[in-house]
Amino acid sequence: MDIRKLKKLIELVENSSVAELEICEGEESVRISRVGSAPAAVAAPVLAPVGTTAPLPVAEEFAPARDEIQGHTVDSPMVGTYYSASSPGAEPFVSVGQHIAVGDTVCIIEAMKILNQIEADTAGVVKSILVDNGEAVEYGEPLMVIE
Amino acid sequence: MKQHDLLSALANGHFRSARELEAELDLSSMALSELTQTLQADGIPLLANPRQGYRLNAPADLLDGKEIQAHLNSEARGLLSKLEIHPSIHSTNRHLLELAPESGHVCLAELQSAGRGRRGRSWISPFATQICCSVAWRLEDINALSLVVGIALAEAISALGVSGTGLKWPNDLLWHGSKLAGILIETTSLPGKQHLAVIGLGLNVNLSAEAGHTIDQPWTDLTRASGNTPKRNQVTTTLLNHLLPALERFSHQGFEPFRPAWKKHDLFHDCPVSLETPRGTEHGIAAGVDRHGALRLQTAAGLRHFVSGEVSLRRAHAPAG
Repeated sequence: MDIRKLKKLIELVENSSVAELEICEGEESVRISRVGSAPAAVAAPVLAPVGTTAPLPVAEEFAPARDEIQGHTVDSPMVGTYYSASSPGAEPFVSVGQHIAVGDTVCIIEAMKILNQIEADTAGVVKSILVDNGEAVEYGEPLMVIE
Repeated sequence: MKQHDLLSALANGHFRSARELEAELDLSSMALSELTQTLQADGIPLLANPRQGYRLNAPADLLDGKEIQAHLNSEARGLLSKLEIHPSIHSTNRHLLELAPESGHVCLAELQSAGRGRRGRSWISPFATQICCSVAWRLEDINALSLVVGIALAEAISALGVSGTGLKWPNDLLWHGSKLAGILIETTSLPGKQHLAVIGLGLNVNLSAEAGHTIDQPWTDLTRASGNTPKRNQVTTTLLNHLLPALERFSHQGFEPFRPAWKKHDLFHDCPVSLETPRGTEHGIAAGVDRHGALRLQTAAGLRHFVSGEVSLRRAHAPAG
């Protein structure tokens, strides 16, 4: 099951009154539950596996204004820490207005001290960057908008 | 290859005349001179004297691909797809990230000119005194890879006869509180669902006190921890004998088979710890890891799981009075 599909499912659950949704597809299964409405400040970071291990806990906590984002977003494939450059003080991988190609590294997400290079899955111009360097990000959280 | 041959010819640290080296390595005097200048420019401590010839500034225990491979166990030998040894390279991790090779491709270097640690920290790697080793592995699920690599490293070091090591989540290898080795794992996506993970290990074998002065945290090496200096080829073989099979097992069976080993090496199990996260500092009792390798912390607000953060041991408050 790919991330895009999961995102759609999460949005579906978010915009409904369903408390929990479980879907099985062959050997994979995904359960999405609305864990109450805990305020963001105390919501525990929930681990979301990168692979297809089931069941998949999914954080319900997306950046605000998720619905208002226009254009293609690069989303975080995991829970972790966002880094805009390869090292502190280095030039950021991308900045607003920059043209990027498919496969260009746009940021690093660190989880369990693994530095994961995140690549652009579409070509275009970086319209906005939605997170700050060093910020914690959730699974599926939009990181930047590409047009 | 000629670089390696020249270094081998000089490994004992004694002067050898240019004429002798030219004959032995089948080089013109111009070629020998260029070769030595290249090595010097790469930071290798090669001394030239117009009358006496060339020597290394000290005897060097050099890596040898044949010897490393000869002592691999059959499982590791089957998993090793290629072994590269460079006298000097910018960074073994960067090399493999750029190459994007098959699983089991190993890159070693006698010296890294731009060795890297996490988040832009430099990793000090003077000539022939460490093991600088990067391994490429292709896999779908990278959760807990960090811990698996730490466990493999801890077990390799224990097999080398060093006791008193342990792991601080997710994979800092400590010997009585000092850093013996560093791990830097970098991943990039491959077509399909695969990731290329490049696992970089820096293991201190015999650092000079002088080199150690530039390291900004408590450190140690195998010589200080074990009381003797193991051969670097043997250390490399032992590392690969543990790491390659662990990576193969992890790719097929996930983290579950490694959990008992984690518990065995976990330095902070049941200890009061602080965790620095991007969202602030959390306090609690370390309660092992979950099946994805995330740190479990028993906090005042209940049991919570974390994938990022820097753990430190919290000292108990001194009794009043």
